[in-house]
Amino acid sequence: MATIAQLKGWDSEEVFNVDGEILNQFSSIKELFGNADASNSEPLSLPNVSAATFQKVIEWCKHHKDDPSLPPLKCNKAISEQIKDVSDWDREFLHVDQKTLCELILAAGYLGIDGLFRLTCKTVADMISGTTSDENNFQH
Amino acid sequence: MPMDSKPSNTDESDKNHVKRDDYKTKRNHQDTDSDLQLFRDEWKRELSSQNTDDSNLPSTSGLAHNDNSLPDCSVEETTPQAHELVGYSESPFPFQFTDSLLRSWQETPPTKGKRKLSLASTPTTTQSDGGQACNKKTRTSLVDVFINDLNELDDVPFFDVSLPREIAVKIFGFLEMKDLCSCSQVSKAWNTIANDSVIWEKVYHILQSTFTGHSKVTDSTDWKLTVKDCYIKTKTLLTNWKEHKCHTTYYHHARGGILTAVHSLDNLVAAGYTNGQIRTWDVLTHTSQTYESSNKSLVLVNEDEDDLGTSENSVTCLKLGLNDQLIAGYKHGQVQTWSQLDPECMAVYDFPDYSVEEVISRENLFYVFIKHRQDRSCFIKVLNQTERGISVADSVSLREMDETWTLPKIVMAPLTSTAILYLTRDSFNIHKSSTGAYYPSRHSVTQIEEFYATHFTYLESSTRCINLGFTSHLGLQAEYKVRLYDPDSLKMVSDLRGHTSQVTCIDSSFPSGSLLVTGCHDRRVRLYDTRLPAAAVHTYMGHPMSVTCIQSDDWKIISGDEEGYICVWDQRMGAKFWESQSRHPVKYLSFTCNHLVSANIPVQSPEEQFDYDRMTHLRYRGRLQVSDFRIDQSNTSLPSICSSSYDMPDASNYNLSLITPYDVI
Repeated sequence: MATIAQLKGWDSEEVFNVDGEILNQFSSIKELFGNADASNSEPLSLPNVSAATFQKVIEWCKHHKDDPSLPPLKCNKAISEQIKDVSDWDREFLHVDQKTLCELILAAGYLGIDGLFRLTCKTVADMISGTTSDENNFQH
Repeated sequence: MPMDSKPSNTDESDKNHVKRDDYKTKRNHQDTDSDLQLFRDEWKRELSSQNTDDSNLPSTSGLAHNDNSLPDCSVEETTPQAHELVGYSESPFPFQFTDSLLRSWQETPPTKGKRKLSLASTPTTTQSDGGQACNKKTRTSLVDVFINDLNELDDVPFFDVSLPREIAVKIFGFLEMKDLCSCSQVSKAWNTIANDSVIWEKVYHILQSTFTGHSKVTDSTDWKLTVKDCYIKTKTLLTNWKEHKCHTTYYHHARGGILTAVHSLDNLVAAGYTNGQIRTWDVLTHTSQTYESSNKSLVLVNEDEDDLGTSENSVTCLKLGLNDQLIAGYKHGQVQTWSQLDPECMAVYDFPDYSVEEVISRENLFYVFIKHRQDRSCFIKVLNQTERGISVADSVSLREMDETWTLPKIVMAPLTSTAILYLTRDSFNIHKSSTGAYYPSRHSVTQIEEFYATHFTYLESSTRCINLGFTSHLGLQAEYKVRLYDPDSLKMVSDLRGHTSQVTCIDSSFPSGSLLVTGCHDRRVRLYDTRLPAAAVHTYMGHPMSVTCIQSDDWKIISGDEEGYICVWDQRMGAKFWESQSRHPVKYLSFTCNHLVSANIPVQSPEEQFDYDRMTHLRYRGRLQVSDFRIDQSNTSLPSICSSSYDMPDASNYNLSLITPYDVI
């Protein structure tokens, strides 16, 4: 698919060519690139996403581009029950240090990638759950 | 970090091109700590350059913020005081302002300190930080730094990276209640998030099904408190049930005579008496209302020449329906309905020479089981109530029934709204009626199964299964079974074995799982798993007589027997929590999460009728009791005077027991 948007992280000049399938997952910024032909315009800098993080985000989006849209979370059921199946690929993907994970959360939240946002938040929550307050204090 | 600053930044970048390059090269050599000093210098320079602009255009200085040529227009627009201060350019005051600003940024409240540390070690992570923003090609204006400093208060440290509050809330939303509680003990910042009302509202909705015994909360200012409150109440309720801590009310209606029929629905209890009166009570408010029967005449019981006894028109069966409906069947053949709000009778239908034995209501359709007083021929009548009154929509003739036949004869079929299940002497049938129920031709009777040489003892249905208890006689041997049917296909599923006498009651209304409890004539209560029909999972022993009523939920079983005992059992351990006894057999037993309604109804034999002593004496009248388990008994265990302290002079004479320890004196 043709490139329809050029994006880059705030900290480097590296330009990422993003095609339509992936851009569609960025619900918060996809509207910016309506029908315009973006190939000759200036690359857009993403102020909250570093190049390294953006690389990872695109990697995730490529892998998940065929996923069906997520069902909305029901309020009367435990969230942890509603999304319990994390695929092996995702688990491998999120096998990163805490700093990178938090950056991924920020990036996913900023770009509006619902699936990744839920996944990362859940991963952090899983890290917290089951620990006592003292252990948390220590980690923290 | 605010996004709107971008256009002004690019604008700026053209003007301050040289300055920026200069700054950038310096930045490469500098440490992060000296970065701050650099930043200050930068600001000073910027302000002084603006002063020169102001001096060039003295007449329009008041409108300076509208001028696009000014590099720092955003500063003036968003912070009017800053603009004022810039006006006093000669005085050192503006620098004091910036200094104090920067100093406050440098000071270290716990969150900021942590954040700064992480900043130093990992400069790439903190894109929200003002100092790092200078590292960008496009320089952020100073006001953004100021705004960032304000935003920083909302940032939450997570491990060693700070996250915006809304993301932190989102993460905490994935946690269970227990984890939230331990997180709230970690630090102040975490405490405020872990106590966030948004999260606790969600927790409440998740746990709501487990909170029994109080009304649903739809709006609250402090959801955590609500959850806590509900949790404690649920715990107290459970303890009260286990330890028999309750407030029991006995409902009497002396004028009615002997208790004959009881039914309860939600918070309402209805009781029918021998003189035809019906009385209802609200278990929460204890308000009552009496309904009179339309026909109070006495009827000759036996038309034999010798025995000329007469009998009153007593209530034989009673049902509380939805929409405040009350329906009763009488011994002399009347079926009568009321609206609960109005003691005036709504409609009556009379079956002369018959007595009404059982009635079921489903909106405007009533199913009535009637029995002829002499020849014992039986019918099921389907009655349809309209505004004009009651009319018979259909009639099913049953063959002559056994004398030994006990309740219930007809039950509502599950899953459909207009079908009933009934038993004849040797077959099990379903009767369906169309929704309109005006045309008798639309009614259909289907035989589910035919039995030979059997004696039915109980029929019960729930949405999960239909249960039929019966005894089959094979020669001299008798087999006691409970047969399960699938409510959808009405096909037999399995037979539960292991009873040693006839099954007298069944309850399968467990909220979940495949469990079923039966009461048996052999004085035992049995718990079955329908997947293991061969034998009972648990047998509960301790009733002195045949079990008559049974109900269960997911942790307890309550059963009543012929002797008047009510036993509460621990379902898993098989132990008895407690028992209580009254004089007559327990004929009605029903519990909700808060209340236990039970009725001891005297056995009526024809000889005892109209014995005036028995009518008047309380102990022969039967007993209707409602136990309320909500009350926190620990508060009311001691009168307040007992727990008064010694330093209250006016109460000192009444200190009978030493509640206060001596070391207080």
